[in-house]
Amino acid sequence: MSKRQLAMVMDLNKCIGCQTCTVACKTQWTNRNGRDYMYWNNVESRPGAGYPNKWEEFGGGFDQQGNLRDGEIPTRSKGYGDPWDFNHEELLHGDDFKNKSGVPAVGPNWDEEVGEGQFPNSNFFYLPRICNHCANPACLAACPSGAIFKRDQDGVVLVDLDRCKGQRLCIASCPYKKVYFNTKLFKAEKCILCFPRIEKGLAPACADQCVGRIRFVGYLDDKEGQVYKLVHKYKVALPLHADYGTVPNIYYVPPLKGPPKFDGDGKPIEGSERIPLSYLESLFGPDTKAALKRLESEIEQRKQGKGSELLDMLIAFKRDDMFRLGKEREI
Amino acid sequence: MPVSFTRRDTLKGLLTLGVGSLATTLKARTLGDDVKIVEDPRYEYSNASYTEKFYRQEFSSSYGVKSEHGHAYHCVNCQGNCAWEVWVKDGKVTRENQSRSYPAINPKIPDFNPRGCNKGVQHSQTMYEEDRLLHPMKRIGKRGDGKWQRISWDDAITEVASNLYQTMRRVGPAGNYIHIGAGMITEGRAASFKRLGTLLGAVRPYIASYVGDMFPGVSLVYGEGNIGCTSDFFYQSNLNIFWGTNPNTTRIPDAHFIWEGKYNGAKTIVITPEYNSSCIHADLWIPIKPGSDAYLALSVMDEIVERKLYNPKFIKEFTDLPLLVRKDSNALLTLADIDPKNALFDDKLLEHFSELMEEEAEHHPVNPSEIFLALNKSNGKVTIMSGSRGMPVETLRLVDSGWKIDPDLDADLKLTLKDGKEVEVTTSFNLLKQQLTQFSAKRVEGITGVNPSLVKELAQDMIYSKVAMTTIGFSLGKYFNGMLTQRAISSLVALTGKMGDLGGLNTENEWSIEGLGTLSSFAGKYRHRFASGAVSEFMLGESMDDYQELFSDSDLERATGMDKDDYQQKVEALVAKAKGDQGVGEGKSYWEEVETFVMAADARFRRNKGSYKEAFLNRAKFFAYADFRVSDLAQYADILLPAKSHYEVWDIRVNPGYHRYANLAHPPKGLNQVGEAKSEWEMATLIAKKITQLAKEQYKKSGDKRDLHIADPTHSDTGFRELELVADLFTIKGELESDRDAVEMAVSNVKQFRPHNVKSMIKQGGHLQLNDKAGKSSPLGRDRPYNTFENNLYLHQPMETLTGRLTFYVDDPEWIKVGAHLPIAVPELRAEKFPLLLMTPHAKWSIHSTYKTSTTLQRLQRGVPYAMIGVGCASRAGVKDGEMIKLVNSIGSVEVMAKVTPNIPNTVVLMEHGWEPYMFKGGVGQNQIMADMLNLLELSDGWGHLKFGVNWDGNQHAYTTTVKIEKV
Repeated sequence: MSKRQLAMVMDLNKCIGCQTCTVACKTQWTNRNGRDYMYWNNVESRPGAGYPNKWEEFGGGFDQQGNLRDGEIPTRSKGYGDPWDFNHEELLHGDDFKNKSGVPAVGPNWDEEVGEGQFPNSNFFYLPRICNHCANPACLAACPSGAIFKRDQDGVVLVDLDRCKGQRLCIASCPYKKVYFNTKLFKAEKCILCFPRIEKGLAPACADQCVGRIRFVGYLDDKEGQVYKLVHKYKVALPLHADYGTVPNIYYVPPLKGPPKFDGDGKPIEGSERIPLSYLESLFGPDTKAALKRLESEIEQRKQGKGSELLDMLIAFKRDDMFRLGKEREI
Repeated sequence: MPVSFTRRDTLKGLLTLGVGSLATTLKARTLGDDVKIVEDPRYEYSNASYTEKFYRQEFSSSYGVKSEHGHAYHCVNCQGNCAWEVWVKDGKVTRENQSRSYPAINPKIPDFNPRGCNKGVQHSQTMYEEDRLLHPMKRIGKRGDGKWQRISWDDAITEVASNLYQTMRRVGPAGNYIHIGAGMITEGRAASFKRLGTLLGAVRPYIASYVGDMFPGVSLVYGEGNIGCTSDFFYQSNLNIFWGTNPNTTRIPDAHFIWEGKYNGAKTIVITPEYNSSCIHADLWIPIKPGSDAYLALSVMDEIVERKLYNPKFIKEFTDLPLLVRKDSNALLTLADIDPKNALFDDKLLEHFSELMEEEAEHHPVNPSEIFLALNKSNGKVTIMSGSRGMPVETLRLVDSGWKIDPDLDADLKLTLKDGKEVEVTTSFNLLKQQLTQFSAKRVEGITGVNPSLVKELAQDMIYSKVAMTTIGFSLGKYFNGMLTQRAISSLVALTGKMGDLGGLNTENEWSIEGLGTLSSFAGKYRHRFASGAVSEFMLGESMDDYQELFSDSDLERATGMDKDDYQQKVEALVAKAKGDQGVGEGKSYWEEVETFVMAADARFRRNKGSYKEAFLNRAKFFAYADFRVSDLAQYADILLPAKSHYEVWDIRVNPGYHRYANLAHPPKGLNQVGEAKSEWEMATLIAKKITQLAKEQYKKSGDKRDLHIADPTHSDTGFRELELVADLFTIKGELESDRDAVEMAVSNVKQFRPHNVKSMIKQGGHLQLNDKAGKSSPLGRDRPYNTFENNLYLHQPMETLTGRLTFYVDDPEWIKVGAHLPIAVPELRAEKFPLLLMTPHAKWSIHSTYKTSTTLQRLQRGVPYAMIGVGCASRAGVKDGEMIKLVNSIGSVEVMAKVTPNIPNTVVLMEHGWEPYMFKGGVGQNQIMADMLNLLELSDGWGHLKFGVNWDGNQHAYTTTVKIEKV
């Protein structure tokens, strides 16, 4: 029995926040069958509320002792917001275009590109999120029906739609709030890492269709692969909120410090951190500093004309090389 | 348990659950409960196949069968031009996935896969939306009332054709306005209505100009506005500057090259008033005050000149800076001014050139007043410079067999002219130097907000980087002073000596594509009435009234030195000169007799300003509109023609040259027809046939030849529009009747497509790679990124300018009068009555207005029109994020949601453009509170290469309007 883990690295220094991934995922999976409000993939602007709004405040995950922590289920008014509908059918009849929900108050990308700080020293960056397909999934641990499993061949975490009884403890327990409830199916559903695509040699929609070319997909034990090298060899790719104890398998190259801030005279402050390191550490943990340092020094070397395997990898000359699915494309 | 769904779903959920008051916080089960301890979660799970089958089935329902997939791009005047696969199942499009099969050109340069964006990736959802136009409709109520009668295609076409015909009879060809708008800039589909318009002699305005996306200031310096590189150039550049542009938002498919370039060692600088999505990855962001960009450019030029950072060799060879200028008149000194026997004049060289000129005279006549002079340091004599328009020696070489010129950049001398007058002459470089001292970094700091240390950094980076590319965006041309800004930045880049493989200026590269003309034209025999976009739309919209309403005398004085009425009179005088058939050649053409409008893909009510909508509706006696959806404009049409959308047609798209691939659109196999939609080619063919039929019938009845032959002495070589021929001419006797015919004809005609054909394009994933003939001013190298002007830099070919050189100096008397003979910066026009500048840049969430109404995309925004305001601005107005506010000025007000952000200055309101009026309360859109004015310099016409055409027209401006905020 092979017990491999398929993982993804997202390079936040290349993410342009275009949301092509979000929409690609939506048309692949969540534009139908009670999934309208779900974003198996979303891109949030950080610092910010994310999706579901303020998801980090909903609890879940494990405590230091390895026990599940309490968690809360987001709701329409707290977290998800409405999937708004509009009156397209009335336009031909001369009506104005209207949001049927009235004046909206919250949505999945509500604070896009807002961030924080004071002009001209504000900052924000994009954080795309999918299910982390954790090695220690809290959703799996919490399910009273034993209806969540990890696939042997790739570690993809799936809700068993046959056995799921709709009790939703998985939703409360997932600290990333990446499990959703489908009222039409009366089952929990979540990102499936596009395993049906992977089985045909096609990368997940969010990665395959990513125009920023930020996503690498491969097996963590594939030592020739970018995922292994970025995570283990160069240690520039870090998990999001490892502190939640679920051992996530989606990794991020954290954002570099950004353009310099300005002093009162409009002079750039050399070496200033537009994005505070402490904020990044709160997301990506204590190894953030070392990861950024490594990246910065490789870029410096590159400027002096030296080669860099790490940067060549992140540049990704041939897009198809970003995916090592252990399978030729069949379709 | 209130888990969120649509209301109906939620209700269902609640009923099924039978609960409503459960606490939402779930207590975690702890050890001791019946918690299953997962030692290794990767255990063999016994019931995997149920779920796996479920999702596999879903996937295969979306994927269908590869052999049935179509290809497409989203040609709604998005410049991206990205190859997509269109997935289909049971005759219905399910979704789209990029082709991602563009061949790499070099293993050390990132490839172009995958292209696409958040808009294109959801067209499959939009094409089946409930605002889809399904049937031809005839208006039966008042315009805009939404009362329609469904009619047959034949009835609809008859209405359109007879209105076009009656107008030709009554008014002449100039009474018709036939146009495919900014919603469809492709070489294939858009040619349909162009062809029809050309055949009938109808008016067609220039799109780039009316949408305000022209680069006239770049044309001034470089001779053409669309210049620059393929996007992979950014990867191997040492410096990438993005000025007035936000590529992460508006060049989504190409942006990766920038950040891969950063990893490759390039320095990236963004110059914009706001901290936007591109700034976040930049090495340096320069927050500039809106509209002051020309001041910054000139201050960098001053730094370069003052510190002598420029390369004199480049300036001498490639710019007009060594040319001599008369101090008495500020005019360029020309050969016509000089007696060749003058002792100071190098008559030997003239003799030598004259021999060469005689050889060439047949195809390039000599014109002494377009031959310019410099002082040759190597012999101390005034000499003629080759390469200018009046000179058949077409080279910029300073040294060649027979001549050796070392132009003196600092020349200052007295000269006796042919008429005996003694004048002082100097170089344009000397004059530029003087001019620039007014714009030193210290002097302009208060205007630009840019610290002098940054001016220094920019100057050094632009000079010392081996390869430096400066990309400018459309936003700069949106200011009233935009042409001068574009010119100032172009001049700066020209001064740095970067061209060709060394970088330079990047707007939008255009490939040279030969053979597509046959689709839209008739070998020049019949011509359309090509109108200035800006003038045509401004006059049609009676926009002077809005100008009067919003601006004050002092606004105008600050921006132009004239008062409001004075400026208007001068504009009106220029506009009047170029009016109608008689005005052709006299400036910016436009025809005010237009009254019958047949248009497609053109949501003009959202774009045009102020009271345009009312003026247009008053003007339009008949107005037919083709689109695939009910846009705001569609609501007002007399006849609605349902068009096929991008996945249902054949089409071909090449330009702009962000990449070297031409994309093909062809529908998936077995695709179900959506309603009764037809392609624009099918519509145009039907209209052409019907016109011939109607004219013949009428002639048969009346015997009056004028019913068959419409007089057109100016735009038809035969002097007439022979309507009995229209059907055959349009369709080439049946060869060209459909979108597919058009594409097949294009693919087989275009030299740059060889050796490809439709079949090979489909096989490759819906595209082809252009061959090496596609480069216009550089070869298109097989394994390296493209940039313009290598032929100039290395082969010394003249530029397409009056002097053949990069143009700093314009000696048009009108320009001299206002001090614009040299690069200059002037304050922008804005109404000071209101405190906040309304900036409306290109959108991330729509392609102009297309997809603005997409449910998928609206859900990722705010679900209603919103505007960004600064934190300080919000607190001053007592406004919180998410509250509805009014943007108010003297023209009107518009209601939007406030989005409060720390990323913009407190002096602006930033709102993506493209929202359609019907999306706002009361149907009043953001552009309806805007006013603009035609710019006199942009209107000026006739000097050298500044002659009305695709490179020299004005822009409609947008960043002229100011507002105040009121709470709703």
